[in-house]
Amino acid sequence: MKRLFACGIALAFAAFALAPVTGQAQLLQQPVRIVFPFAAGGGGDALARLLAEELHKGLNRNVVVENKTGGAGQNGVLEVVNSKPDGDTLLLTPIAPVVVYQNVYKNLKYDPFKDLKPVSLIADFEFAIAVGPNVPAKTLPELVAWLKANPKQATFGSPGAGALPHFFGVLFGKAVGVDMVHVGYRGSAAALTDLIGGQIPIVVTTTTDLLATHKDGKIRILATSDSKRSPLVPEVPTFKELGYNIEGTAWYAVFAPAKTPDDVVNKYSKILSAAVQRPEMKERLLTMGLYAKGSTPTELGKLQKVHADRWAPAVKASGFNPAK
Amino acid sequence: MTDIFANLWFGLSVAITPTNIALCLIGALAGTLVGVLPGIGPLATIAMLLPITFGLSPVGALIMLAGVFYGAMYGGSTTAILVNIPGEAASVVTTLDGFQMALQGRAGPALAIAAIGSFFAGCVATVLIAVLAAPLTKVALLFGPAEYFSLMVLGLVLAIALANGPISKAVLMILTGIVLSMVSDDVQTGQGRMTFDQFELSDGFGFIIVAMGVFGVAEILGNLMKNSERELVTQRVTGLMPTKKDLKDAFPAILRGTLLGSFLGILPGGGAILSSFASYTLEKKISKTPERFGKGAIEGVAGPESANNAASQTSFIPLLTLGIPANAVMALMIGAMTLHGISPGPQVAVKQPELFWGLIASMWVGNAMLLVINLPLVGLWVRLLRVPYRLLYPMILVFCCIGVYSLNTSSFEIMLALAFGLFGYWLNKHDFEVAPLLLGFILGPLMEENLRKAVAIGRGEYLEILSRPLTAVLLVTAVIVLVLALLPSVRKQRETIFVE
Repeated sequence: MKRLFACGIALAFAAFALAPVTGQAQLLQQPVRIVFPFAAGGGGDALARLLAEELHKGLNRNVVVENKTGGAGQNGVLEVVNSKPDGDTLLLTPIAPVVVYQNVYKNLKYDPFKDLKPVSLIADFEFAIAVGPNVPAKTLPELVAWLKANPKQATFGSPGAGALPHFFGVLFGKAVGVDMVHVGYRGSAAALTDLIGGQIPIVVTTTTDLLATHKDGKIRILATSDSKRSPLVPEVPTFKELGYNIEGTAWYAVFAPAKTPDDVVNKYSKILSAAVQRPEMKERLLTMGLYAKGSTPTELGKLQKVHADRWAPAVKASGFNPAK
Repeated sequence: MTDIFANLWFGLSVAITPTNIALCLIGALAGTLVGVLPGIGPLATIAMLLPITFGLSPVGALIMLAGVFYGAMYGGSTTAILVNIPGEAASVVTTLDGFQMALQGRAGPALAIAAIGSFFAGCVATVLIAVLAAPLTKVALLFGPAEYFSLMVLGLVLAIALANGPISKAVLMILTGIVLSMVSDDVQTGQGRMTFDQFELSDGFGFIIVAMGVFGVAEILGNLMKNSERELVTQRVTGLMPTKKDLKDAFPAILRGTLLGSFLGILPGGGAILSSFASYTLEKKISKTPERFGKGAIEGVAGPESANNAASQTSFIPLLTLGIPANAVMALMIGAMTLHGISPGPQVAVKQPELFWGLIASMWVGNAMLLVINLPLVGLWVRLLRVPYRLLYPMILVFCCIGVYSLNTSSFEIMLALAFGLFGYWLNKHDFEVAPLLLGFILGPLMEENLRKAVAIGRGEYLEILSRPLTAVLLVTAVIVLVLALLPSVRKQRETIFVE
């Protein structure tokens, strides 16, 4: 029993010894942290690492990326909200945790407008709708006609329940007056496999994820979701062009804790905006399916508000509401 | 046919340039290292190495990253055999007989046979990828959510055969595993289930945390209670290399494991995990002496190890032919390709033959390298076991903590691993086996997710699932297996076999 006890002590000690790492590091000059609220390895993670490199060059300080996962991104956002607002902590986040979560999670532990300060928009990207080999439609109007004739087939896959493509699919269903049943996958790849295999007729996800299979002719992208055509598939019309009044883009942006001083925020904003506009950076982002943007803090704040208002009705219509 | 060999030859000429061999070696070494350290998996390693590859040629970058992947697959079995901690899902089965072999002083042969089996499987899978990639992809596409659901049901039913004790206990453990896996936000609606509004729980318990707890920590607790028995065991190490008899016993298992793994690997999502379980079950079923399984049967190491290596390699097939990743590591490989300006898909083989065939040939080179790295290391690993247990176990615990902490930088999860350790210790004390629990934990969510998808696609028609021929065959097989297992006469026989 004594050994059992000792073993427990050892484990507990190790747990506490590891916890306050950040506290001790303050003795030296602390590196700037970019918190990314999702796991290492995804597209956004690569973006975080690229930005860390740019900030390092711009500030001449060490910059580290910290993947703080959990709660579909809530954990990472909270980590930043609760950090000291001294400019040493930044958040790189996709759109959802700072634009739609207040409509999704009733007991969200942060207010994306009050607890965070916008720094700079980094890059944006759009969604697309694609059909598989079992759907005869070659254009979006043909697809709508086909859906109305075969309402039992009106099912679409998305890269995840509660992700923006899910809500965009709901918007599409509402716009054309078809009851679309949603099937949530884990990531675009799984949804694409079923689309190619004819298990599911329609998939809504980012244009980038659909691009390679579309070019092979295994699936067909019928429309894209931005206000202008996608540079990746310029031959494909937008929903707006075709007369469906729906629009949706997603983005990555950098935020800081709410009380971070304005001069610090402005300095970061300038460095990041200039970095993403450099031609070689633009090109690298494009290979990741991202269109380089950059913005002032005020511009990002406005965008956050506009997009929050745009997605709210779609979230409501989707019935996706975990806190109900 | 000659085309294929010409292509492979061309690939080899790309793969064995000095730079690419060096990159392959670095990748395989790094992979083995992270595989041996519990917790830090190939996924995180590849993610961290990704920026380093920017300066390399695309083919060199992919060769290195692929090396990390199969290096880690192999390294994971080293910890499974030596200290009973499965480094990744596919090594769970290796603990069953591998660790028993280590306890009997046969860690050397167990490690060696794992390396040899993996090498053989890797060689066969390489040729399979070259020859059969296109037709195999078509088979994989026949599998929709309904088929995966049925496959997982069959997998769980077969899992009963994994256990050595009474059926009721095995079933109970599988169900407990499924219940544990349900703690998380629901995939389709986002509703929290058994999360008590704690978002630490909203993503569920991580596999590594559960596995480290119920296997690793529980094992240490058990050893400490038994005093220093373990130290005595490690003193009588008998031979580092497998004997002739070992090889003769293991070879058919390696062959079967390779075939099974090659097929299951092409199925995206869970195929590779199932392969090692399926191979173990198969070996135990067709063995003339099934009572040896779970007590250090070499076939129980050879089969699953070959199967998971074959599967991890054939999981490249959907990536190379369709541009679709079969698992998270493959998704990262796609990321690596796009960062180097290559859009993955069937056009890769045509437009960038040096990349396609170079990567395939490098798999063979990488496997050969793993054999070269690992066979000499066997002696070193075994010597590690001679370290007195009172020094060894704090090290294992510290590495476990570092591993768990590195996943999410969360000290809560270290506590969780300890809690699972206590739970696992309690289970061991009461003769419940933890392997079926972990299998339920891994397959449960996959089964549920696919069932929910299948039903959503069928717009709520449960019976629609049965009308699909492939699904019907799989489910009927599962029912037959279950009935056979429950039949009184068979059960009696089974008990006489297992309880002796």
